[in-house]
Amino acid sequence: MENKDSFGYSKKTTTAIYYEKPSSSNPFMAESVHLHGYNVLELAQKKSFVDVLLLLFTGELPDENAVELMNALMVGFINPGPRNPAVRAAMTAGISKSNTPHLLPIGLLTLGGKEGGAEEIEQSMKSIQESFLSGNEIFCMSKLLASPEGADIKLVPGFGSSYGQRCIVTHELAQLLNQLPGAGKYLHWLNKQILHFNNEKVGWLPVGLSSAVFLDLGIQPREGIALFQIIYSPGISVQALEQTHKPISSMPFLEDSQYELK
Amino acid sequence: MNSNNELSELIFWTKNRNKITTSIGKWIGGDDVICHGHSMMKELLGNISYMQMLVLNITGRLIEENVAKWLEGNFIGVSYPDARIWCNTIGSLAGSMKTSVVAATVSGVLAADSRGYGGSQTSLYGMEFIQSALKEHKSGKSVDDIIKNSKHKNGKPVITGYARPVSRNDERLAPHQNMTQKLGFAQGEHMKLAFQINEYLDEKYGLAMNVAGYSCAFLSDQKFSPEEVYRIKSMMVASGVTACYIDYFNRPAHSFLPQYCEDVKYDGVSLREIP
Repeated sequence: MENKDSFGYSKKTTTAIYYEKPSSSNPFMAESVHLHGYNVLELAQKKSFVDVLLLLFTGELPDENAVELMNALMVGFINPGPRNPAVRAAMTAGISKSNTPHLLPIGLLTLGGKEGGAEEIEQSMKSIQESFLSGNEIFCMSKLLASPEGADIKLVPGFGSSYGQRCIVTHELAQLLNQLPGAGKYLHWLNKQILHFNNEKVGWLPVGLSSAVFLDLGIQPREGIALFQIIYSPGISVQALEQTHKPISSMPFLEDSQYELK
Repeated sequence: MNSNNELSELIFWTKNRNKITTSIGKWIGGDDVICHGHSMMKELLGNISYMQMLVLNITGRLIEENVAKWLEGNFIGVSYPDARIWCNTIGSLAGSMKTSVVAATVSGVLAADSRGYGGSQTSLYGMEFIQSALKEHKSGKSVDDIIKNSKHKNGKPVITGYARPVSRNDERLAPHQNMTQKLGFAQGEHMKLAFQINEYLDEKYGLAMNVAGYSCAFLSDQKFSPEEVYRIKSMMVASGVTACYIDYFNRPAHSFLPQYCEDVKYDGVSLREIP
């Protein structure tokens, strides 16, 4: 039986990002493409990838300080390394001969989680904003509660310990970013707290540092999720692709003695 | 890292390094597979349904045949081979790009991991609602109080499983009720409350229970937790997605709803030049 009433949905998809000027002879063919109003060919000639990435996410071309900050963050986190769960997932697929186009999506889906993953970005960005507005410091002794299992401590999403201590490289990257002219109020406020708190057990985690930079660049929390996935993509891809060229036996497969059924 | 004191702080990670300790199961090469204490080769394979196996792996419990049959019917009830439904649209688009069937199906399944539709994530919210509502009801709260305290939008309550305008028929509801009866289930306390809520919402707001509300009440009566149902139903739209994928896989590129440039309306800033 057909529905007699209209479903009431829009007749057209709408977007404020992408405009295609149709060809006069073929309405399916675009004659020119514009991103937030700029012709993509002009962007290709005059702007960098990071310029256009920020244009897509914010609607406006960034200034050079913002590009420098974003570029440094992207390079800093371009490869989370073969021990990162998302990268490991993609590498496991690579070594076990999964279809090559699946490798990056497998890594990105694993990266989608709330623990060190993209979903934590949104939570982290919101909690930074709330703490900043209310003036409540994230780094304080009252929040420093040991994990009952002896695992890592999380003060708020994006901030805590990694294998029982401050994440060394992330901390050093934060110091570098904090000195750039593009660093803004969120990065400065959080880094000052971390240095003042001076406790080597906790500090910046990659999610927290990315969140602070995104906020300083005017990125919205939901958009931050995707941007974080984009930043990690090259590393996930190459680490997985490298494994595809090796025999399946070149990655560990635990022996029965290493597998305990309780 | 050199002192014993420092190493002892790493015990959580060092004890799990190169070792898996679990109670879910184990492959015993050449002999058997243990699944939550059951032998796959001697006990399960050939004797239970795939749905019973799926629920065993997810919950650790071997459910009764009639519960598994009910769940299977519930899965059938979301396997619509209609490419207009969002997850299925993705199946068709993937078919039109000659994506692998697994990528296409998984992409559709992922799309249905939605707070708005799909039956998996929505079950989480629906189950949480009815289970919490029953607790409140048992502690003395009326249906009126329960609904008043729920989330509202535009003056109407927004409760997963109870958002259907009374005028629109949910074609899945009656077959689900028939299936419940046919499989011999009595009405449980969650279901009883669900119908009381349905009556209240119908009278006061013109809203009615849909199949999600019905399923969540039924599965709550079967002692499933919200998280368990989310996990059990995680792949439930898969076959409808695959059907739509196959439909467009064998057609030429751009066969699926080709669009004129102007079929996508631009509502952004005016065209401009880089300063």
